Amino acid sequence: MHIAALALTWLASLAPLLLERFGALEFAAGPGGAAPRLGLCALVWLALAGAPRWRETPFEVRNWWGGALAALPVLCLACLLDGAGSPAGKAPWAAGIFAAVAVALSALASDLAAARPAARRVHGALWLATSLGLPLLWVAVHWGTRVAPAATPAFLDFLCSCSPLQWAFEVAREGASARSWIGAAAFLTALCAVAAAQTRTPGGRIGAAGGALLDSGATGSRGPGVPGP
Amino acid sequence: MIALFLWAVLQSGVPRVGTADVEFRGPCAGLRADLPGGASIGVGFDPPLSVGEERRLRVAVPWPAEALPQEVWKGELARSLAAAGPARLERVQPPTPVVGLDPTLIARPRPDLGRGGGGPGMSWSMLFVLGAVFAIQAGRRRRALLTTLVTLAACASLWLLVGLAPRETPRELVLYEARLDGETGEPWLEVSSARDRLLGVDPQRASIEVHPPGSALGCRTEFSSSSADGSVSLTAPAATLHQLRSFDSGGRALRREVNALGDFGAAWFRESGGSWRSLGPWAFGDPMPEGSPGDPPGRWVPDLPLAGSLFLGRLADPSALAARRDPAPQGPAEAWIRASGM
Repeated sequence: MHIAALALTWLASLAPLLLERFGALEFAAGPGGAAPRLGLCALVWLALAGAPRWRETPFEVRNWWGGALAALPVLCLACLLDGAGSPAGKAPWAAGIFAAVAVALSALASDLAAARPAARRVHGALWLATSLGLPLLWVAVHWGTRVAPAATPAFLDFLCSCSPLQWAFEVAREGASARSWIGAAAFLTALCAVAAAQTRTPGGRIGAAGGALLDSGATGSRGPGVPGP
Repeated sequence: MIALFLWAVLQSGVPRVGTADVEFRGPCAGLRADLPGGASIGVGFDPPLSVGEERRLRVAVPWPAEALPQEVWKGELARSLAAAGPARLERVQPPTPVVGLDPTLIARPRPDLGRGGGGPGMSWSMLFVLGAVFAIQAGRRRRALLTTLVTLAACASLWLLVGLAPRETPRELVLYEARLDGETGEPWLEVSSARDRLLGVDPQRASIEVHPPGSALGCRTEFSSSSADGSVSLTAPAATLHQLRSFDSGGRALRREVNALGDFGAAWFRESGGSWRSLGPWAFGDPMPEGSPGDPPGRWVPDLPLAGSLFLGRLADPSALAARRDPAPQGPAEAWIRASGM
């Protein structure tokens, strides 16, 4: 992730907490599992850290790890503030850890896919359709057409639970359902697998450390920034 | 047009809570009916109603603050309930005011629970930690071990900053308003206040106030094997809910000579026209301590009449006087007594 994009994401994720700090926003205590601050911070990180990369870049483990770690203090603070603001006083640690892992996986998939144009296109299409498109479709059906929740097609609810953004939205609103946890984890794992497979095909560009991460020794790693054959 | 009118009415004043007799037909595990102005009615059954089972139950419903022909609101409730599930509205009962209390008790200002419900907000020190860590991370992104260590140290610092920050205002408290110079056995006013969500509501005997006006009020009634009459909870995001009801003091006495009420963790006293004295703890059975000059927490002082003496005390055991029929799982965080004429 480019340093400018990282700074922008960091600032955007802090916006809900800063708005609350200056009295422009107030988070209400929701039902049991709701964590509004964590949900909103995670939503920003998942949306921006996992977005398809603008330009082709060789994959470097250290770059990815350093970028993913930038989310951790913000998510940790949101978690702690949610815990302090909840009637029971319990911080939503499980959701916080999941959010941190999901941000790391989202960024991993994007960084891996950025190593090769074909992988970038596949990743971009998958990310736009599933992570962003499905929740937007859900919002359009629910809010746009004012369909009662019970009348929503079941398949749409099911598909939506694959989106990490939907998971973050549910965490912020009323606590995520078990289906959303499993769906988001499965989607992110699949996205990483697809990005890695696409990158490892001939023509992929993987940095030295990235090659070491992906290859277990059977296939030789390519040099940093060196295009594949 | 009618919906727009009802929305405007619900937005214009302090919403209240009434009751409605509704006939439910199974199968039904619960329903949620949305009303104009963001208000809602929720009903839950545990266990769910079986197929063909019919039950006539009393549920809590939001009620507009403005004077509105009862038939208009009843019609809106009936439409919303019928659209939400197998429910048929039979009768509505408007909110009942608290009776038998001295008007000066009801006129006293309600406790202010503030914004955010008392949890520590984001402080400048937290922002400094976040900014410094991000700057280090950005500059040393390629040094994985160093970045990891700095990140973990930042998380630990934030945990300490939030963990050590004091909770300034509770999310929930009970205030007993009393007039000690009134008639013997005069009932007190019990005000249960909560931020965002109020549990254990008794809509048939209590009066409900929601601040700020225009807040979207959700009423939920849960029926289970343990609460056949239904357990009512109210929600109003980013608002403070107050439940007002009469409290039988049961002959409890609080005089300067003796405290026959209960242990106070902290207490303050102000003579007529004088200034506040901090009494410190006041144990049951003891005479009133002399104390020293000192003001009570700021949120208790505004708008109170200067005439007459005033006592303010925080009970050491918050549930000492609680007579809640359906208490919150964790009980009230704080219980206070504000008494005049001692």
